[in-house]
Amino acid sequence: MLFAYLGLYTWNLRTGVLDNAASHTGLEFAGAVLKPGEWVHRSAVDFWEQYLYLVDVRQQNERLAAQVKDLSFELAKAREEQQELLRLRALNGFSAPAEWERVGARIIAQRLGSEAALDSIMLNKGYLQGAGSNTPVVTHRGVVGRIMRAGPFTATVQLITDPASRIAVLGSASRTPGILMGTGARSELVLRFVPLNAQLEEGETLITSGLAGAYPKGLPVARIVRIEHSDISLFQTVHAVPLAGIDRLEEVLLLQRPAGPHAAFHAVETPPQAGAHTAHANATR
Amino acid sequence: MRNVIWWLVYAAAAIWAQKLVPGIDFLLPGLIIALQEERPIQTFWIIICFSLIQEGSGTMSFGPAVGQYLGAAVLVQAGRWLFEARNISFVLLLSAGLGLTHFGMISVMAMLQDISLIQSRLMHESIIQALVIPPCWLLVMQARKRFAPDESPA
Repeated sequence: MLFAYLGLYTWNLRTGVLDNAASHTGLEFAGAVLKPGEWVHRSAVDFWEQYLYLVDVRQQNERLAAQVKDLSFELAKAREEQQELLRLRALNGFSAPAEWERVGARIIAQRLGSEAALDSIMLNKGYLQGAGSNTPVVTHRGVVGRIMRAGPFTATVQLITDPASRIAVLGSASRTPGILMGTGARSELVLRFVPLNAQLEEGETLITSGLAGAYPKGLPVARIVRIEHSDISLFQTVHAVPLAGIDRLEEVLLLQRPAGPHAAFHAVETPPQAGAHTAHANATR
Repeated sequence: MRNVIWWLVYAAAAIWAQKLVPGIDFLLPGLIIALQEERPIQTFWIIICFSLIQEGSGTMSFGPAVGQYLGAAVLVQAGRWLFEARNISFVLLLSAGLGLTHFGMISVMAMLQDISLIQSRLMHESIIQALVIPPCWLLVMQARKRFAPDESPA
């Protein structure tokens, strides 16, 4: 029996057949069981919040109206700067980066089952609805992670807080590059391979560099909270907190890769993940 | 047919329990009951279906759940030689063994698949897994006697 098990295990590592079968059956069954309950829960919460629980709505409206005024001013300024950017791009012959499309999805579970060893969430969308393997997952605040396993209508996302997560990032002001690694749920992220003389500062935002091809460039990921300088290392250790508020997520956005030559580049450059890695290896072989 | 519906409802309830308590396997108490009923065909299908659910919703390559369930089958078979397999004392011993199996299986698979694990969390979850099995087993056993009396052991 042990030999049969090991044989099956290694055969699956080479072919990915069993991972694929589990994604199409087990993952979909779990999704089908959880989605109706989530819908009932969401409807009940919406009903409560929209029709019954109206305390502080007036104050909230006033606060939001003031915020809209401020944002309108910033939007006008940003539009002017965007026009200037377009003119400068045209003058210098730069091509604009391809636009990534966004698709909304809801979270239906977190780390479901005993085999969810990685920090993960389950989404109510699968590869037929735009949640294919390695699709970046974000919120309006920042990066959440990327899809590591996808069935037709349900998908699992590896979070950036997972110890196996690696993201190539830049300091938004200093433009210092580094690799952002997770250290576990509710723990700080760690930025590695930052030279001792790099000009990073506490409070600076880390954004995706776009170099690895897994994420589009410029998405906010984390904010630096602590920088440690070591006497024995050539690198500083930078601690950061995720901006996406990963503990309180309910909805996320999936970023669809632009069609064309970029897509081919991403398909080759994106490092594979557990669960998806065998199928990916076959696809690129 | 009633038996199939019972297992479907049980699987759905277990998935919801897994959503509420992340990292814990609530399908395992049902598998123990299936093993105790000593019906090879039912046990075979239960292992296949439960493995697919755990492997599909998990985050590792195919293997740990199958290994865990086969380990449970071996432990129950071995326990039959020494104990009364439907006794709560045996289930307490078995759950401790399954907690250890869970820790060992996930650790080995993470090493094989080059995955970084948080060992302290895995240890906590293995302990909780061992503690959760006996009350769940009792609950599921009672439910099975009530809703599927023809299928449950006397």
